[in-house]
Amino acid sequence: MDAETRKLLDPRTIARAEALGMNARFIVEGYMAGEHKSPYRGFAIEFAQHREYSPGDDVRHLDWKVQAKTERYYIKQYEQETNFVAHLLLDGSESMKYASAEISKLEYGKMMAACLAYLILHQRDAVALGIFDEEVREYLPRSDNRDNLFKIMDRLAGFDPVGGTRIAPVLHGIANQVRRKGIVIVISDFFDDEEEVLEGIQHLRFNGHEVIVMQVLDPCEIDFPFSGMVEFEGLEDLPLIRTRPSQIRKSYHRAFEAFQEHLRAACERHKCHFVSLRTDQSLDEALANYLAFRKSTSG
Amino acid sequence: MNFLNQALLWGIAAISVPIIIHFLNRRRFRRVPWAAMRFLKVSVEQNQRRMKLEDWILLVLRCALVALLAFLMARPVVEGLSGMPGSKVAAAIVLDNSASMGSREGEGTRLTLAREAAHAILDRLPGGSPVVISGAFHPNEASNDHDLVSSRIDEIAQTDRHADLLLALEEAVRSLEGQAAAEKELYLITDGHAEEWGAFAVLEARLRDISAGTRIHLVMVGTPAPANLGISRLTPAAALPAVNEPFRIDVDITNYGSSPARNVPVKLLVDGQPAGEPWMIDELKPGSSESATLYATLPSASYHRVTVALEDDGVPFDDRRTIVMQAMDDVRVLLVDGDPGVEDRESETFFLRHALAPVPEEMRAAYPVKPSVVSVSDLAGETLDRYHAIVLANVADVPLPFADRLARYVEAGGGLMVFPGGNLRPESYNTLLHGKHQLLPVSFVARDGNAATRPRVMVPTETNPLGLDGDLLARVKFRQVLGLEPGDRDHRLALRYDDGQPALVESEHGLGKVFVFTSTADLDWNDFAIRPAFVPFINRLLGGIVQNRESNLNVEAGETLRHRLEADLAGREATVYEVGDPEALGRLTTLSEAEGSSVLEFDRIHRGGAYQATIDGQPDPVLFAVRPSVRESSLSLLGAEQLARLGDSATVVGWGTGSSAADFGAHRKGSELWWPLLLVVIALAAIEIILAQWFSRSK
Repeated sequence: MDAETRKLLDPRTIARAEALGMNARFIVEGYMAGEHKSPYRGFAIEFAQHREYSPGDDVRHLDWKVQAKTERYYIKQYEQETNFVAHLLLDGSESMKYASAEISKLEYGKMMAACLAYLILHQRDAVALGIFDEEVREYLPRSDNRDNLFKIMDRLAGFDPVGGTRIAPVLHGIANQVRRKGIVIVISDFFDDEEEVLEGIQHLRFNGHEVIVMQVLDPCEIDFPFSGMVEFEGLEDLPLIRTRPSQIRKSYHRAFEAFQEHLRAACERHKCHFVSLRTDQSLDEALANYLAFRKSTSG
Repeated sequence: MNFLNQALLWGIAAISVPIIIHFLNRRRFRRVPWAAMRFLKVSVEQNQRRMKLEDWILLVLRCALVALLAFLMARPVVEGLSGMPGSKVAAAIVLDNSASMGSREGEGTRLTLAREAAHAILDRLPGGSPVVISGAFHPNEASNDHDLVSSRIDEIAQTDRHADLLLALEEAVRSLEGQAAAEKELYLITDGHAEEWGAFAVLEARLRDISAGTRIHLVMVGTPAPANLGISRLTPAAALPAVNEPFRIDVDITNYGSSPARNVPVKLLVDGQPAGEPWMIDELKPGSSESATLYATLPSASYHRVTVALEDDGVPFDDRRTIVMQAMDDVRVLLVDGDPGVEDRESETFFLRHALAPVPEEMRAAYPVKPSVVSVSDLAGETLDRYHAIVLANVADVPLPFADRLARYVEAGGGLMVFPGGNLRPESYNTLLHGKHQLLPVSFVARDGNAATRPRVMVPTETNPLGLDGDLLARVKFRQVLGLEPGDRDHRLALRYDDGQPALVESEHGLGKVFVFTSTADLDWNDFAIRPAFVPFINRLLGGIVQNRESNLNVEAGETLRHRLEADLAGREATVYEVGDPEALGRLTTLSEAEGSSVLEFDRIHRGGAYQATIDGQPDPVLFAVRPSVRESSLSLLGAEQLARLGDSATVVGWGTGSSAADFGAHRKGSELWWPLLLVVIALAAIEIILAQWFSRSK
């Protein structure tokens, strides 16, 4: 494991994440026994309840003992313990390169993705990783093999952004390709067309995926603290803008807060978790806060 | 609109400075890579027009500020504005009130015209302008209250003094220096009397200097007087006028005009009453003087006013002159004979005695001066206070007790004359009278050893305080004299020898007077005693002693009266009135303390005439007289050529009856706008600061 990879696996961050554990918000179906319960009552290991037989039911699941006692036909239903697949989607566009201090949004996002991957794999669940800009640039198929962690780290560490942002096609693509319901974690600044992004999220939710929206922002993008005459150079080949930030600060704040509020409201509407992250916030604290929140809302 | 500093209008070009700074600031920026461009773009699009407008407003404000500042410094002047702070001028009006200004002009005098001119000048000054009004001798404080200044103009009184116009101008310039007004004006209202412009070149140069920062106006009042007869000298011939004894008064009358005067009566008044018939001068040619001889008789042994008067003419101040004199009825002199000799003629005091009472034996009882002779051994029995003067003639040693008494006697007002001789021992005099009592202002050094080689001749000093005739003195040969060494005490040299050595030294001690002669009173060292000059010499010494206290009672207008009185009067108040004008407001003064005496000091005497000072607790007032300045009698005024020269540095304006006030202030270009402009600049600066803060706040 090289230095870049080790940096992504901050032991303190991982320790806090393990301690808190991770509970999926919804029960998803999976292959392996784990802590996550499948919403599908099937034939597997653990009896769940009886249901009166109706035409079309598989007669193999009839409980003959109950029929002998009550002379009625009941079907046996089971809860199957299963694992889940988490799709980690990291925005690797150029806008994520912005850093007002040491850590850029991309680096912060990479660390967050690494932590989540380690945590999920540690729980013997499966993780798939996608790094995208206008399209998916890096993709690692799902795997519950812990050895896969190193591949994930390598891909994260080795990625260098070059293109603009188009989140929506990526989300639609994942929704179309992944048939099994799972958790889709999108890590991005979401500086894209909100309506298109929200359509993508809606698509994922429609297919039954749990969607976690993690918005990574630089503090300067939130506070806009510049003074004097400043020429802003767009990171995604956008034209230069020269202005006095002090004279438009409030206007900027209004536009930015409106964008965030829109994103947050849409996530709530689609029953997604919206997590706002600042790059000056410690990662373990951000992760711990979210997992605590998640545990509290999972029942 | 005019500009006082038009060149500074180029400063308006400085509006390019804020424009350049504006564009330079737009070029000075830092580049920041940025991700959230969409929000920035939205914000900029929303605020772009407003920001541009704000930038332009600030730029315009800053340019206006710079332009206005340059405009302000160019000192714009607008005609037709008044009452604004910027329109004020600082003015100094010097009103010549010297004696010549009392010359008659129509119904009034030149001073009347000068006051009218001063009022006209004041009326033309912008309201609220600080104005200093002063006479030739009376500087005043500046005032913005023109009513007060107007009343001060009327208070400037006629004097009989000679004016120093240069001094008056310097005072006026000094008073203008502290004034804040941008424009300064100096008005000198004068009759252009040539005597006051005596140092014409100096005055002209000074006016040129002053005109560099101050506008000068010379307002010439009056017309040349056609004639003037004036009293140019009044001298009593007698040093010791006796009671009811007529004494001669020599008077010189001068014709200052250009035409002869005939049948000029010269009147004499004693204590304001006519005395005898007027002296008639048959003809007085232009520019010449004639003497008149008048005889006055003083009725009592006290102070009297002796006045000589001419008939009034157009220049009245010099038509009348008064002196104060004291009549004596009994003057006692003690002669201490240090070498009595065998016969009367051999006595050291023989010639002194006869000189003091130069009348036949049978008339000596009636003669006011009564000399008494004593020897040194008889001195102990003499009461010194009985005598007006004591003469030490060739006295060898001064007895110690006598030296003490003598010092007290002189300090109390007595007189002392010292005549040396062969017996005199210098050490005794130097130790006791010079060293211990400081009665003698000089010490004797040694006898003259080379007297035989070259006899000396005595000559009066330039001031000739005794008024002796130099020709008479020149006939006296001094074979031997005693050298003098001056000490620390004040003294005056009254006579000297032709080789420069002192002959007669006079000094004051307390209230008394001391004369030290350097040769004998008999014929041992000189032939003075048998020369015609001896009698007047001795009488002048005695007169000087007796009238010592009164010697300063006759002063010129403008001089300070300093009259010594008894020491116990120090600190008392005295009130000074003009004699014959009891209604006049008395002016107070306080007697100061001096060495062995008190001093009545008074420096506010500007008119000729007789005055009396009444001292608290004293029954008899002190009488004194003031004579007008003789220099003012001349009629010559500045000529056209001189006025033309003065016109180079000053505006010369003639002012007479019926002159128009429009002559004054016509030069003013208008009212300066610096004050309102300054307010606008300050307001713009404040607006710029507020707007800059307002525009730069977050929006």
